[in-house]
Amino acid sequence: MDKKSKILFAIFFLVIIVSIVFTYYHYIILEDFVVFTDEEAFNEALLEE
Amino acid sequence: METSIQTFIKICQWDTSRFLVFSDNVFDSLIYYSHLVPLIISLILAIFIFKASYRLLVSKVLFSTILLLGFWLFADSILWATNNPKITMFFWSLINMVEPMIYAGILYFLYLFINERDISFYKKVFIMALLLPTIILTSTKFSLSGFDLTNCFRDAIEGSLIYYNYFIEILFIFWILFFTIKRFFTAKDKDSKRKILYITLGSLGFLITFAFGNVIGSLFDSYGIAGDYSWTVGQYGIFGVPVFLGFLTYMIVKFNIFNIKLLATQALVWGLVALIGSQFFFIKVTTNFILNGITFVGIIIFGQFLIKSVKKEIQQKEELAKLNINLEELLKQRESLVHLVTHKVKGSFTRSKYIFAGMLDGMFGEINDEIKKRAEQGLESDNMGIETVDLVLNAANLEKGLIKYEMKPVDFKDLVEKSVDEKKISVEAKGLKMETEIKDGVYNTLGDAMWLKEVVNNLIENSIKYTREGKITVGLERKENKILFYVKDTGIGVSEEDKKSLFTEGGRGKDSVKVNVDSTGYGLYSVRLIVQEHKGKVWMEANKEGVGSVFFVELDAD
Repeated sequence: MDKKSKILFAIFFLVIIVSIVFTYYHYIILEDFVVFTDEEAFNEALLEE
Repeated sequence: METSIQTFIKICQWDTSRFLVFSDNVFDSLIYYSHLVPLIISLILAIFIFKASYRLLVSKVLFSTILLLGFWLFADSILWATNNPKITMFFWSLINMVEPMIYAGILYFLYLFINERDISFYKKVFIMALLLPTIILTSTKFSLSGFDLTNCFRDAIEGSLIYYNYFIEILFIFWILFFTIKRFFTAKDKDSKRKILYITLGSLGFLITFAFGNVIGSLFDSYGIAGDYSWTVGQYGIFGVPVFLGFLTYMIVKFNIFNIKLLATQALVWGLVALIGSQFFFIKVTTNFILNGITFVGIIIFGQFLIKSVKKEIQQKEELAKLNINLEELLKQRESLVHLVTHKVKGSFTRSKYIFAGMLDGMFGEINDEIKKRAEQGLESDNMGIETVDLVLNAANLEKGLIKYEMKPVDFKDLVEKSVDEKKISVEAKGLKMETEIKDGVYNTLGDAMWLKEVVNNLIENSIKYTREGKITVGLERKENKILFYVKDTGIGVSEEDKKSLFTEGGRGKDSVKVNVDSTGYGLYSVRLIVQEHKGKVWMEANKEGVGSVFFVELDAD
């Protein structure tokens, strides 16, 4: 493999790692995601309890 | 939000996962088999490929693709087991990122395997550019728009990026089809076509079974095709993944990148270890646990012995193969040297022969008797030299199969009689007698008259050379559909030791050299090669009538 391709692969893997780290930070540390709940079912369940 | 999520988890009675992948949330133990067994097998295959041929780019690419698959299987197992929404969100988004990369990996692998060279820089840029949106947008809402907690689901909600992922996955499949079909039809020979066909089928099989788990499960679930078993049906597809991966590995093996025997042994041993090891997760009875443990340890110990012995055998074979190559090279060098030397020597003999012949013909004027005598000796010596060179050259050509025989019906009796007539002068000159024992009959055979005469001449000349006194008998008889030709002499015979080197290349016996110093050891060797090409037999026996030997040639009658 030539040097140009090696640099290209290095950049590509770097992007992947950055993306994984960012995803980890986003979901595991910040817990930044929307949770969809069915409130009715939730309340019903609470009442039953 | 945290409180309500925890409450939901409690209400839904989701189990907390153990070692990330084990929990009661996994609806069917089939999931363990469909994910963990292929995961272990894939990792074993990846290690084999890396160990055996890590320097080759094609192996590196397949190794990386298998690792990605391993990650996919592991992450999917986590998704089945976990009750933690943030873990689901994290691994779900990574799975979506990895999937198209596996398709791209297989495409790259096929290019390397079929073309046997790396793809262009621009193709790499194009493939990576296609993957880039998926990678960059992994952590955004385009990848996952949220987490579904309604009705006790534990699913991430996929964003619009998933359609882009499907699009590039389909694009990669079409690219694979286009490339492989094109290469299949432009391939020159059958072997190349077969190689392309197998590797394409293996790759597509791998991608289809890989997609099976998601697509079929999802489709069946959406349309209620298999009811509660919709996802179970989908899991069966994943079982095919290691099978096709194994096939792709085998294809690399088949083309001698590394040894199949060792790979097969290691795969068998470690596959067994993986299967028996996986039983530990399900066994609940202590006795069974102990028995399984003993089997597990036993397989590891005996497996190691087996692998070691196979390795040793392979090493020995490889060393032998290397020696063989060296020997072949040496033989080639020797052959070209023999040709060069013999041609040069023959040229010298021929030039000197014409000088002596010219002297005898009076080309250089009148010569006295003494010079005439010397010229005759020189001419005879040159003729013998040319004969010897021809003998060595013929043997070399016969051995290499460079001689083209013109197989035609031959009257072998006529051929023998002519040869006997020609040799009578040299027999009488040596003070020997020559007799013939040719029985009546038809002696037609299929062969090349010129080379068959060479056989007859050679055997008669041989007898003359090794017979000091007595007679030479040339015989011919029919035995059913065979022709038996023999030359019997009262010569020195052949010692037991010399018999071993008779008819072999350059086989000059110790005792024979004492009588005939000019022996090349190529005469009888040529005889054997010619007779063999005529589907006949040649052998030697001691002369039962006293001293000397008898050389036999048996040919098919036409």
